Amino acid sequence: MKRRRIQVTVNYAALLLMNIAFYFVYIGKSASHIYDVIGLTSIVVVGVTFRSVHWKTGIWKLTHTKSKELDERELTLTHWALSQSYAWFAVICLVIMFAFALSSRMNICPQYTISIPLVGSLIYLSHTLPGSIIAWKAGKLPEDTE
Amino acid sequence: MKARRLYNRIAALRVERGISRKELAEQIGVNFQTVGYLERQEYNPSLDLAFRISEYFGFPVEFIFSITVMKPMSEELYQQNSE
Repeated sequence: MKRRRIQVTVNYAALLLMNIAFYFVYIGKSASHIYDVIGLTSIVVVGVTFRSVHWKTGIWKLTHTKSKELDERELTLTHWALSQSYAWFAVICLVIMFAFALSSRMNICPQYTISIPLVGSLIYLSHTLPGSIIAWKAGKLPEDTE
Repeated sequence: MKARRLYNRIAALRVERGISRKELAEQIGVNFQTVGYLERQEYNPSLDLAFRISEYFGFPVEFIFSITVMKPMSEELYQQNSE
């Protein structure tokens, strides 16, 4: 369980690092090739951790299978994970929008717009967040049994 | 509201019948992993699933499921015979 949590953390930390690295590439920071390497390495780390957390464990299949093909335990688990991830995703999107509003208001990098890496990251996040929540809880069900 | 833990005899009954988790899962219409969760008492089945399990084993629901820790079947049998 601890190992899976570490993998989930590394997965999203690499995703964040990729966005930061490509942001520096976008604003044309000197030595941008270093940021390119960091960004591309982060994508590899995201891919490797995705494979071990979501693919090999079957969590991806669980969260992306039609509900009529799931049994009652799997349905309960996926519904709970989807509702949790909906709440988290909404908060993340609102924080990003707030950051954009604040940066334009304070004139910090006003030319920066919603970039392709950011949109890609949000699409990735929306698809993996339910599975990550399941992986984080390691199969524990939402109904706490005494 | 916290759900109470349900104790059950699914593992003992399945072993007694000599069937695998996969075979039982096919009979009661769930994934074989769900049978594992049920046997470890980590998942409380719905009323419908509980009835499907009881129909499959041919025992009443209250014989298979309980809200208190269940005695081993051999112990219950011994007590019944000695009474």
